[in-house]
Amino acid sequence: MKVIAGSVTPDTGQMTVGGVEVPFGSPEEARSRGIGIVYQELSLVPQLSIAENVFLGRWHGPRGLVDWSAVNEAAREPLRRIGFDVDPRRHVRDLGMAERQLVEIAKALSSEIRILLLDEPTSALSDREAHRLFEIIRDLTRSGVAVVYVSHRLPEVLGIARRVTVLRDGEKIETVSAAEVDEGKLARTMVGHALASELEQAATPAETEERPVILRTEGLARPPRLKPVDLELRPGEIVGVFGLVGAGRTRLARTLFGLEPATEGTLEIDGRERTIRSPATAIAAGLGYLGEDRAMGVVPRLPVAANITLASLGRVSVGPVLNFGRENGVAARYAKELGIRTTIDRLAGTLSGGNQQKAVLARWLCSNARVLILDDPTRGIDVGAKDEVFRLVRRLAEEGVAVLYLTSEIREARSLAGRVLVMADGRIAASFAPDATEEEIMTAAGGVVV
Amino acid sequence: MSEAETVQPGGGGLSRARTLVARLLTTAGGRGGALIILLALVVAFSLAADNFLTVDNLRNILRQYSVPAILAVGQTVVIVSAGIDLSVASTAALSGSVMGVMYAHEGYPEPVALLMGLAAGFAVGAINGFVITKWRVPDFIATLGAFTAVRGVALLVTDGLPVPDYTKAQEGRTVPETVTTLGADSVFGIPLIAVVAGACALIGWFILSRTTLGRSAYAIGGNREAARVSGIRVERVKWSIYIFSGLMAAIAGFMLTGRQGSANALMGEGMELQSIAAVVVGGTNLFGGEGTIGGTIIGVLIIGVLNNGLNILGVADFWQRVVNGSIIVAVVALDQWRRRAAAAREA
Repeated sequence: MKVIAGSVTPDTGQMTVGGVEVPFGSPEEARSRGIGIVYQELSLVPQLSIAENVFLGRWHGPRGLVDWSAVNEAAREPLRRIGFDVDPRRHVRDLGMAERQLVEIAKALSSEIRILLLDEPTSALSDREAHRLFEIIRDLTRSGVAVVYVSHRLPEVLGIARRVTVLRDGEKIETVSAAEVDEGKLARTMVGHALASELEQAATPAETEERPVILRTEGLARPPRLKPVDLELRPGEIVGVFGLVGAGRTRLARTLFGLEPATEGTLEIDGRERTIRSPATAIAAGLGYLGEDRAMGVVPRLPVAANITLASLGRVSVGPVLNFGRENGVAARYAKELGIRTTIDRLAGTLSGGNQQKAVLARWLCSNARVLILDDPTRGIDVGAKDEVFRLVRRLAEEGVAVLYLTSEIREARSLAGRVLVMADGRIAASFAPDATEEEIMTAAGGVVV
Repeated sequence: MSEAETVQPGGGGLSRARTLVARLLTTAGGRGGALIILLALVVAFSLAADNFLTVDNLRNILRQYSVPAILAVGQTVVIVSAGIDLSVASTAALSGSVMGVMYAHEGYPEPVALLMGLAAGFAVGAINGFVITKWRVPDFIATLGAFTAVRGVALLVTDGLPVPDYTKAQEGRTVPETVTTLGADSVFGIPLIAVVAGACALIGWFILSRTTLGRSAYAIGGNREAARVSGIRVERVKWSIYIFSGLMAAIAGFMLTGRQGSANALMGEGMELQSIAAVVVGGTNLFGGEGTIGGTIIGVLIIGVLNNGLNILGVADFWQRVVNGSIIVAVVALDQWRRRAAAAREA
């Protein structure tokens, strides 16, 4: 997507529009050839008006002066075209996600376009809003615009597209006619069978089922994005949570850990009801959390040792005074245990992604966490480091830690977890044993009804 | 040395010299840059004026820059946590005024007057902390408001007149003796005000490098979200830090009062910016996460030596301002360059 729109420059190849070659690497150039794009992360400036956003950087007017009434007037055209009846002078910050999505599309349409690229446009939309979007897309295609629609959601893809191209690991796998495939077949193509059997199944020791539940939630929710969730975790168990973008995985993790405290429902740890209002209370209750965004984890300009002890400063201090001897001892032990290959006095920011991730895991061992919430811990780290993270997670579980492993990769969920929960639309939609087929899981996750 | 091996054959002596400079600047715990500039200034002024490097003049510098140093200690802790405190000089004036009025006009015993002055500093810090954490006003704006409002309170407390005001002062009351002694006297030739500043620096250093509060300040300044996720109570820490800065400002206010022999609501004007400049010149990152008290002290000394040296050389005040401002920017620019060089070598 980014290559076509010119925001990323490819190494090889060429692109033609209407038989004319288009140089890569210039969004300006791409736009002038009639390519419009709507990114997954909206690229609007909330403080500006709709009209200002639609023409961002291309405001009409002579010599650096902007004729605002002309801009507002001009903005009505693309808005009308998608049937979005709104005053273009309104501020984008006052709009809902769906309306912002429409503004984004109007922005793409504001220049003469022949090709429209949409990247996961429904990830922030409700079903009803998504329907409206589909109507607009159909209108556009009728008026002769070619649309490329990127999505994880199989029913959507089959509902809207004529041809479907499956990409996996940056490679084109297959292009099929939408009329000739069903969701199951598409899911199989997406997953790729050859890969599925590579990883050996993690046997869930039967004995974990007899252990007492360590974490239990009943109706835990933070509407509207997280609907009531019932969850049970036992010591030594790895429970995978699979969900596509926008399914509510990260919400669940943040709610459990008190970053976005639950507004409904109850949470019990060791049979005792707890109210988790903040990360501090979550840590005191024995929880640990590794965020989706690695930048949230380490403090880059503190040494590795300080990063490891950050969640358990009480353990390495006497009253308010730090005991460096104890800190270094403790940090060195966990660094070694997790195989962090560096000295602990190095600044954490200079470590590789994998080592940073391990430093954050070490932090939770240090704080004696008994329940670990890992949100996509292998995101953006290389294959070797991934493997190591898997092994670490398994070992932690063997030592009796309960792990909630949230991921957007089916393979990871299946090969690591003893149970796979599937999230869709802010709730847990299904629960599978790890021997469920990937098609089944993918189908359950694609839960948006079109 | 690995750097020596990476020198390009074609680069010759120039790039080798550059590597050498870069290495010099990155020594002394990253404070090398500021330290070298301080030494260079001292050498330059000593050569240019024979009355610069005299015991009397050095004492003079210590006496004059102890108050900014105390303010800068509090400021360092605040800036390390990615905050900023523009209200320190106003708070110093308020605390000095409150202490003076309570002692001279109201006739409270010395310890009570001192405690009330400290309480004023504590209160300003607590209010800053409250506005920042509870009302979510950006640090800069909250303390900018306090910068003006606190001066106003000081003017109200003193009626805009110097304290003690002999029409209001009680029989025989001027300024508490502790304050005049510490602010103006010397022991074995060392100004006591510098000893107080040294003690404050020691406290600041201890808090920043040896306590969980200091560690939390670095964590919040370096990555607020990571600090929160690690269970650090960010609001409580910020609150404590602003109160610490307020207390340092109160002590600075006492010392200023003692040095001058009286307090007034307008004293110390401009010192908030001087303290921020000293902190940044001393290598503390204005956006938080790194910095040391040692660096800040070097920063204060750089500013002190510079002002004093230019004075001695008879440079006109207007030019002094130009040079002063330019040097501050130059030091930080050099520091940025040093960081890039260090990062490049790390990679």
